[in-house]
Amino acid sequence: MLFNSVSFLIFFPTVTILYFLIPHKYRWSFLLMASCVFYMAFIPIYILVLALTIVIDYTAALFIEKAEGKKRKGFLIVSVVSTCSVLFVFKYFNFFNSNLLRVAQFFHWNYPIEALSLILPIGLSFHTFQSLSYVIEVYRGNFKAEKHFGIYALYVMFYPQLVAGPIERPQNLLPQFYEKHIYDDQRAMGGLKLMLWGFFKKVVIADKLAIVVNQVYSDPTQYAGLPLIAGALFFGIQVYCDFSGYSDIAIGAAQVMGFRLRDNFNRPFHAPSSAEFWRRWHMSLISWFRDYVYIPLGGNRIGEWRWYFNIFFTFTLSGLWHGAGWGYVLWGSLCGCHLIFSDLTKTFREKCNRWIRLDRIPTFHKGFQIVFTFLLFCFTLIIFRSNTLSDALYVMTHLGTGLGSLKGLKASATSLYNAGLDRYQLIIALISIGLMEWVEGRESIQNMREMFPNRNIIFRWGMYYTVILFLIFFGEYNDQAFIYFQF
Amino acid sequence: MSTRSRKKVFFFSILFGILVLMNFWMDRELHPHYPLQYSEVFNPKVNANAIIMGASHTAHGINPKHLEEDHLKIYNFSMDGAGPSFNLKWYKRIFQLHYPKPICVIYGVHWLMFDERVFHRKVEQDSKYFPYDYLLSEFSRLEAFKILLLNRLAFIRERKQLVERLLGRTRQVVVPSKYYNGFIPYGRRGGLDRERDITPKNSEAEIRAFEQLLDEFERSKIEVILVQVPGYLPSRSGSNIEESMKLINEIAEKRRILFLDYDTKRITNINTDRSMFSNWVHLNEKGSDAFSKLLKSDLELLLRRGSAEDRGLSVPRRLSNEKKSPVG
Repeated sequence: MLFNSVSFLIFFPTVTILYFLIPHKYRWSFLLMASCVFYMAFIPIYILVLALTIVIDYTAALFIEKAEGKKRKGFLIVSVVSTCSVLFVFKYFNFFNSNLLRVAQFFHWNYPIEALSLILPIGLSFHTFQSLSYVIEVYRGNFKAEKHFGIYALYVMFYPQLVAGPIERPQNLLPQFYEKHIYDDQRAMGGLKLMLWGFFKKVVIADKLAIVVNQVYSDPTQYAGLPLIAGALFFGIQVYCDFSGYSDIAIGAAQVMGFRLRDNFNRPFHAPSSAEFWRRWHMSLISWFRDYVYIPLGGNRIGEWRWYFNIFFTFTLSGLWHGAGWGYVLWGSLCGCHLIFSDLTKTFREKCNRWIRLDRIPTFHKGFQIVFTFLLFCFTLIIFRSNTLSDALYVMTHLGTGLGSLKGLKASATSLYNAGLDRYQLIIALISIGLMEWVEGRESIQNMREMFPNRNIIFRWGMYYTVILFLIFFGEYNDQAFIYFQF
Repeated sequence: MSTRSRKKVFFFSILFGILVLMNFWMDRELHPHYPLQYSEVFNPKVNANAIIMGASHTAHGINPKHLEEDHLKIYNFSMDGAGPSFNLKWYKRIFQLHYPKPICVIYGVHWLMFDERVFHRKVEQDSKYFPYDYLLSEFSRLEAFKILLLNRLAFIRERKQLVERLLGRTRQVVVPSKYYNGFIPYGRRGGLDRERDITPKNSEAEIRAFEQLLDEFERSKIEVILVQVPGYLPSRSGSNIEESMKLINEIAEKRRILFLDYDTKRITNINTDRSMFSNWVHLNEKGSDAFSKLLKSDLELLLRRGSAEDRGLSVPRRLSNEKKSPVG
């Protein structure tokens, strides 16, 4: 079920009202049932895949807790391998298989294994990672294995974060299912406001920009100059609004019922460096990789070159997490390279800043850093969004084509208007982006949960009316799925 | 009632008030012929025996007054942005159910007609003009009913035009005093100096819908005449429309339908006379009068004398041999 669908408009209030009406001891089963309904709205049969990983990890965690020494590790390995195998079969098998086939063809070997025709279960990477974090935490002794199968199943299946996160940790979410939540009007209103903000980002900004992005990337060779620049920049903003919008709706929906999910984005476009950017972007995933991949590899408490390898490896793996394709792998590695390059050149850049006296105007310097970080992110996303690597190469090499002359600029602007959004729609999209950046630039992440609690009533209501009216008049209502569902 | 509840009531009352005012403002009718066209189709008064279908170029380009004769009543049911899929749905779900069967349909084709980006009108968007009994009959199709119901609210239906409305870009563009049987001439003028270079993106779905519509006419034994209204040639590059024209010609030929093409084949003074056009693709009042008279004389000549080939018009043998004259 999509958050931006009419079904969810009925589903959410119904579930929330019933949740508070039924006695506490039945709430977990009701929420589990509601989550099943939510998940089965996509492809019903795939609930069995989800059930399989739940049973494996639930059982493994119980065994891990009881076992000692090598057996303990053995159960962990069995659990991780089984859970990852499900992910591999559905998501990565065809990718590896096609690459092996190419190698076999190159050497003229006989390669009999055929590709699987399976549709990827929605949100598989998210709940796989959430399940893995549970067994790893139990293995590490940070969390006791959950005895109640239903509560554990709910931990994996809790509908607001089931298909696209935030990827929760057992320490944060599991105990909340035992808490008795009483309806709190202020908390519920805060949650609803956060949902409203999420819908604004998704429906007004992301889906509007998607029109241009889809048009440009469907055949980039038709364009040059401005449309390609717009496509690249808009996709960066679209991904953020789409995914952070989803996260806001998920966090808000859970908050209405009394659950507190972890934050997923902390104004990443205000980050002055790539390192800071990745601390603010998709925080639940990045921290997952940090805790379960990067730190076990040695983190930064090792030699410099090994540290660079750890960064590179972790980011390449995160690229592969996003999708089974060389484009995603390349994108992940490129992000890792940025971090390594920025660390290698840090001293040199600081010297340059002092030499050109940029450090004496810190506001301008920071602004420049923020813009540069954003542009760099959008540039790397070209690989992420392009259908093929040759398309990505074309976009990257034709961003400035035709912009040297007034005539070329005019032609470029005309083709931008023909890329799906007319002049007015384009202006509305830009105003909406400006509004979002203005609000998020002024409010802390905590305040966003309550939507301006410390502001006066005229400002607050003015903002609420603006957001609601933008949603009504400028929203794109075409049941467009969230980008991160595919992962 | 607590302060919080009072605040909520006050907040939503203001929001409701804003929406009511917006609805009232956005419900102003910019196209006075639509309600009359829908009124005619749901409660026939003219009972036309020939109808005109198509999009804006036909709605503002063919005046039935100049085609009518004593025994022949013509009604122009063309609507702005109406592509083949709209016309198919409109014909099957509205027209066929409520209007007497005509003997002839003049269908206004255009080289852009299969491009969904241009011809994107939806039947549901016109639910404002539907009587309640029809609306309720759609209740069985829940999804359709939901869309129909939502489109009765002006602030939802017209929301895409909000900016244009706020900037006053949707001011009256037609001449209501010259309305006649669904036809209304365009009043505005402009955009003739700029050369357009539009390449149509033909949609398979639209092509299929057009074929289905023609099948429907054939099944109902309704004679069809395809007409392409003249466009202002100096404002247009012609090379990129060949594919669409080939497609329309093939369909007409395959089905042996009379196709009168005043845009690419039968070029007259109208095509180059600025005073005849409202913009690069729409005739104005003067142009529509001149063209409608020309169309009538051509139809008379073609259908009565069968001299089509001499005048550069493609005529299927069936019509020219039978000399059946549904018009004139």
